[in-house]
Amino acid sequence: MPLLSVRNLNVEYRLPDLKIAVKALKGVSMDVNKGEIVSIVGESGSGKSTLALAIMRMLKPPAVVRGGSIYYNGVDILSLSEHEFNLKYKWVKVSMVPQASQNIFNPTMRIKDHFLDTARAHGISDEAEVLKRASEVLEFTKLDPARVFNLYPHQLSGGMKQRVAIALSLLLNPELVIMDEPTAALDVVTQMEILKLVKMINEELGTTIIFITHDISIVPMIASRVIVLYNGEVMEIGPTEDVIVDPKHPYTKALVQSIPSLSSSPEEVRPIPGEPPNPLEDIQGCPFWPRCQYAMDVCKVEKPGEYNVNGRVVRCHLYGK
Amino acid sequence: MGSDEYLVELKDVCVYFTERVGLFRKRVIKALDHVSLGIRENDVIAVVGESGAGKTTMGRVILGLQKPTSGLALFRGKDIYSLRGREFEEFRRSVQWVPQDPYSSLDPSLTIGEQLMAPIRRWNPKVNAEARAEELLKLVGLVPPSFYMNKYPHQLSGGQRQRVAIARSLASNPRLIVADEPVTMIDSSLRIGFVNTFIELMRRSSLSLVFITHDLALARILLLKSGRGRIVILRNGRIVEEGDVNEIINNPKDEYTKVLINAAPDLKRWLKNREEGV
Ligand SMILES: Nc1ncnc2c1ncn2[C@@H]1O[C@H](COP(=O)(O)OP(=O)(O)OP(=O)(O)O)[C@@H](O)[C@H]1O
Ligand SMILES: Nc1ncnc2c1ncn2[C@@H]1O[C@H](COP(=O)(O)OP(=O)(O)O)[C@@H](O)[C@H]1O
Ligand code: SF4
Ligand SMILES: [Mg+2]
Ligand SMILES: [Mg+2]
Repeated sequence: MPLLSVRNLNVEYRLPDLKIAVKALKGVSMDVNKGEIVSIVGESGSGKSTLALAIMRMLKPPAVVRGGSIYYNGVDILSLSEHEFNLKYKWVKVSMVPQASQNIFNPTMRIKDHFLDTARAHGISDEAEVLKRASEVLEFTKLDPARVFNLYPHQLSGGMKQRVAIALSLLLNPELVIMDEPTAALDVVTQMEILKLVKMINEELGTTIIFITHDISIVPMIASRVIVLYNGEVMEIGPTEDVIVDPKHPYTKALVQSIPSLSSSPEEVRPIPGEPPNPLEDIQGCPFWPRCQYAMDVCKVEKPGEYNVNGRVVRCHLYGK
Repeated sequence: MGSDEYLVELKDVCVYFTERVGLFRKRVIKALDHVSLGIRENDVIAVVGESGAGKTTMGRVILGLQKPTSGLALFRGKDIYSLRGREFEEFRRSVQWVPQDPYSSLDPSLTIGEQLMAPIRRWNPKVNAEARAEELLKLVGLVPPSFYMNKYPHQLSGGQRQRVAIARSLASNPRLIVADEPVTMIDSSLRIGFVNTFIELMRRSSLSLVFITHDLALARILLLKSGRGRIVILRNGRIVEEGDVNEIINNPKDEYTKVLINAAPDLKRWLKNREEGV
């Protein structure tokens, strides 16, 4: 049984003044296995953060879950009371490093108090015990607790803030950590250090990790499996190597071709044709058809099913029958 | 003073900041340390370096926003920081900037049309500001322009805002644009389209570009596509290496350049290493 299993999840953001709903997730299903690092990749607006927040049960209005289930070790966590979820799961079993975590810190609070606050929010008030544990996780992330505890957020570099955000996520020793674009604001050298840290957490602490990114070129540096999202739907799921060496879904193909390598010729790097989807527009059929060079008539009217192609999940009519 | 071979030239520029450490001690931060750089007409310079390397400071010196502690910043041979009157106006018109953060640089209370028409009226009182604004939107790929003219910044995505910032920088018909990490806030899959926008702009008019980034692979594509220019590697306020982009990537002399190259995510290198079983 997978550690986490998302089934047919639908999430909408209701926009009251527009009398319209943005369908942020449309029937998303995916699994996370115990002990792995799995990456969720997709462009801005594809629903990555919405998925992360849904798993954490941290979605706020105007977001509404319109159906589907999220199983953690077989328990549907969406059906639990908020009290029970907070007591038994949130931060205890599943925690997260939120997007733009550089900005989550309270500028008037020392780093030490951020740890005490997080612990208190989960019912732990023994300060000495919390600070002991906080020291351990800070040391693990290669920061000096004695120094960092007394600093204010603005006194930390971007890379240090990201390490503190990761240490905070580890405070209650969770089994699963969701990291939302943890390197997006960092330069490549700092990014590399954070990727090493994430790997070390996975290998030495055995923590399962969902690593969210918009940059498919860093996926092979970190994850053994990858889930490709587009416009709120899963396009392809498979082992990182297979997906990148031989992408099956036309969107994954276009994505891989749009990112330059240090040895790419200018001709082989091509933008994905057309414009990113408008979130207010409900595209009939396959969400990628307006930009897809293989689009057929059926693609415009019928949503492709989930096809199994050599052990991979691919949602594209090219692989039907 | 300097020659007017260059549009903008930095000669041995230092920018030092002093920072208080504790109660009595001070520390000097060398944001730029003896930097010399010449930018010609129709030039393309990609500036690459890690966070804190001094890239933004260098951009600010070129733009007349940060007076060097020592050394000279010249516009057509004249000291930018002594320009007055018409000469200063000419400098301001000629050198424009696309700032690092499109979220804070656009005025949230103005429509896209208003953000563009204000500088157009300032620099070109005679033209039809609305028509010119629509033209600029088309140039940066925001089509149809009428769809964007009445929108507010918060109604656009990060990438679209960044394009508006570029359109605005073009309002004065500049000769040089300094783009400070214009792609950091946008998806990696959209970055190449962005580089193509700049290439297209430079193809249409005489325009130089200083492109600040830490995406080495993207900087390389920009330089190869524009068929000119060079890369400058900045570290701790110093230029550690400068020259032809392929030469530097294939044969880096500086240790830091090697670190940058090795840290750059690279699908092709990963595929190759995998085949060779590295
Ligand atoms: N006004 C200032 N006062 C004090 N220090 C400054 C000031 N402006 C810049 N610095 C320092 O100068 C150095 C270079 O800063 P700069 O902003 O140019 O770096 P950068 O390469 O643009 O980095 P980033 O990618 O993080 O924006 C840094 O150490 C920075 O903290
Ligand atoms: N608070 C909100 N109100 C309305 N729409 C939202 C809100 N947050 C997100 N959305 C929409 O939901 C979709 C998915 O957003 P998000 O999960 O944040 O994407 P990502 O993290 O991949 O950039 C987008 O179309 C976005 O515009
Ligand atoms: S279903 Fe059709 S439009 Fe969608 S990716 Fe496949 S071929 Fe393209
Ligand atoms: Mg997000
Ligand atoms: Mg900067």
